[in-house]
Amino acid sequence: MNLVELEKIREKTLKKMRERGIGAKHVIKVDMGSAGRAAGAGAVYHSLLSEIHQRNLKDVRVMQTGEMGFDSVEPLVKIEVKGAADVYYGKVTEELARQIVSEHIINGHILNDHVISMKTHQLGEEE
Amino acid sequence: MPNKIYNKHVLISIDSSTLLAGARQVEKKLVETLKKEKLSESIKVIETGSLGLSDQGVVLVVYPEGVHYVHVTEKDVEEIVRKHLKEGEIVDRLLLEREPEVSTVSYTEDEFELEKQARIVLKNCGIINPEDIDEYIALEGYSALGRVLADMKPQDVIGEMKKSELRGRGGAGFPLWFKWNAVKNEPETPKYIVCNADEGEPGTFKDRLILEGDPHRIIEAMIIAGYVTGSHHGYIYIRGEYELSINRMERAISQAYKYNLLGENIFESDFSFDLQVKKGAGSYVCGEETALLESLEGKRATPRHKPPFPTEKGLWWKPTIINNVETLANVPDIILNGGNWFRGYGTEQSAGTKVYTILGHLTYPGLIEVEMGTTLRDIIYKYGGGISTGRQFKAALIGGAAGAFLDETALDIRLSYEDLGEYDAVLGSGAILVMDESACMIDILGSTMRFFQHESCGQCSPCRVGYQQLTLYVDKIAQGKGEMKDLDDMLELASFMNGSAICALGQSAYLSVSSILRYFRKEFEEHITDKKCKAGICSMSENTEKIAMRG
Amino acid sequence: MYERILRKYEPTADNLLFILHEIQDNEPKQYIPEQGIREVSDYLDLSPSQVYSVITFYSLYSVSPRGKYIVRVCDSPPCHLMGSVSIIDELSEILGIKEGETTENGMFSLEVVSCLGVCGVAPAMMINKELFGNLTPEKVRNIIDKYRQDKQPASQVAE
Repeated sequence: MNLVELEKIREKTLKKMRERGIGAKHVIKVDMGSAGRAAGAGAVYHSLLSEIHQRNLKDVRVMQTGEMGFDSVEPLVKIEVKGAADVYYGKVTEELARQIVSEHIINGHILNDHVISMKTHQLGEEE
Repeated sequence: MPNKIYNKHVLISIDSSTLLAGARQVEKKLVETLKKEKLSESIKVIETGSLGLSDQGVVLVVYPEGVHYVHVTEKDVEEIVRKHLKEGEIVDRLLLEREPEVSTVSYTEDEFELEKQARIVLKNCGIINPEDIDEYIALEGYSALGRVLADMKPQDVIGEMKKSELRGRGGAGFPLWFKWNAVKNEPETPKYIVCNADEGEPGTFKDRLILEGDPHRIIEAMIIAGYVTGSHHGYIYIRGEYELSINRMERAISQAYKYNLLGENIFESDFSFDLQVKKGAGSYVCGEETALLESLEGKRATPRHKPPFPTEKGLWWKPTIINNVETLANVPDIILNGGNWFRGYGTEQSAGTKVYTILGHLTYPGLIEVEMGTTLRDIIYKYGGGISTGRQFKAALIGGAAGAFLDETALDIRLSYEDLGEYDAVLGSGAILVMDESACMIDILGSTMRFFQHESCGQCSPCRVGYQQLTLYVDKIAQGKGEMKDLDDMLELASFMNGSAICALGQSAYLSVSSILRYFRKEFEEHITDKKCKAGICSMSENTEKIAMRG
Repeated sequence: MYERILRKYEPTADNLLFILHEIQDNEPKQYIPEQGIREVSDYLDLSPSQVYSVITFYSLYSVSPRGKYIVRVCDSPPCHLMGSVSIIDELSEILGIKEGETTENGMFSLEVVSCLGVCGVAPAMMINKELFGNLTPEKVRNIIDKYRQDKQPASQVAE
């Protein structure tokens, strides 16, 4: 084993693991805390999943998370794309969820009207 | 290796707790059902380690969606396959009702101010297949080792560790770089690297989770330690009760040998390192480092006098590093991201994250990894879901049986080495046992003292006789026969044990007794003067004698 | 049997714990007999009393014969808080033995032990290598009933 071989195994296995969404380039997190659920996060979550499924997108992982702490703008969706700032969308509807997939995830266009916050990385991301 | 493309993957968490809940039966049923529905070609079932959800029965995760199903039984399998895997419709009634990644701080209220993904130690647990070395490599596994062997001198590694301010997570909190540096500077050879995986502290199972879920992380860290100190032999001492951990670790080691990540000339360098699992045989005191060394040598595990410290005279009286599992699990990421990155987490004097096992009367008992400095209140109410019984919080025992009791006045304490020190408490193993009003402190202290009485190795009399006497005092009070003078006598005895016992097992009596008397003295006095146990546990009769005989 | 086990290990003292584990696992009554102690001490060049002292130090080993099924109940503080005392009482009653004893038919031994490391599902117990959690007296009865259906006499089972 040398470093080149290690890298080869890494790439090959990562590709396989991405099939199940590990180390995906895009991560969509839906706030499924009690406030989020009450505001309709469940429908948003289903909408995201079905849009991704219909478009047969790979390299996207949708996750449920706990409360992110912004009750007034629920349902809340966070988009993490490798190498880019995290984007938080507030008051997400089922329709907006589909747009997030078609515009933000596929085309990389941020839907500015619905953004409530953005966050750039500072730690551990210098390289 | 055939590079097959699957549409979906179903991860099933296999660890000691899910096995208890019937994970094997569910897995079997799942595989059969997929076959029956002709889905075996497109959907793959993968075993993974623990997901840190210890009270959720059998847990399945469907990828790429990342949907977590909990409390899955054989009966539910068909519905999951039919509805979700075939039709893409999620089975709501089995969904996890809280965040899937319980142990990630990024989902707290502070997220918008300071986002710090605090999963370092457990970042692969429940995500990779722990029995497949390739999956560890895929998530940058062994690249820290590669970097160390290719570009770094031992001194550089120690420099990063010093910058990181990583301290031992086993209990004592000793700086890691200091131990490594001491052994590096010892002229005597051979030297040894020992991983202390004899996790016996009651209420603690964090190391089991790491060993079961991400064994290669420990192997990689130990090889790095070997390179830094000039050692070529390592031992992982795992307690005998941890069957699954032992199997997983042995399998991981043999995979690492196959890839020549262990053995001669690792990564084509001139560095060689051998590693072996040693199985314990049931002894709490082996968690004490010098007792562990005795046990490794095949003897009774009686602690040695210190000094000399193991860094100087350790295994077979040669220089030896002994690190806890959780401590080592931090090492690869510190190499990859730098010491300063790690130092960015935590409080002034406590860098990084800490894994806690949270137990007792909690809604979500289990395991969390949070930043150092998280308050006890947050841990109980935010991560633990609050008190499960609907009653009031009464007490927390922090740091395992050898830890300190605190009451509600301490809820806002930040859990870090320095803040706990102010309360004369310790972080210990990271076990937090939460008790509601139904608990009787005399009963719990009795249980703790009997535990130590049973586990005392018998070598020194302060510990051997001391715990016996303390147990007698507590039982006497529990039977309504106590006197006020007993409380002071107990404190004096415990204080004497603290000053004279050979190892921490005997010394820790003082922490238990002094902390419980500081916060709950009134309850002891009620037992003595009013002969009353509010919780109704001490029956003040012969019945207690029966309990007292155990241990 | 001893010959076969011993030959797998280098004759160095640090292998003692390994060897003892293997001898006990291969002994139907789950203990280390006197002959075993003598053979091991010969092989490792230790005195029998040294070997005996090691065996009696560790709680997983035994020098007296035990049941086919060893029931280990945890009574450490987390399990104690969640009611392990009632579990131990229940086991004592249905098995008709006290802690440290073995049933007359050689099927069950009852041991009270320290933390089993599954405190998230306290109270917990282990029967041989199988773990059981979130116990209630009723659950305990059902589990023991299942083991009682095993009609094979205790002495015939080796593995």
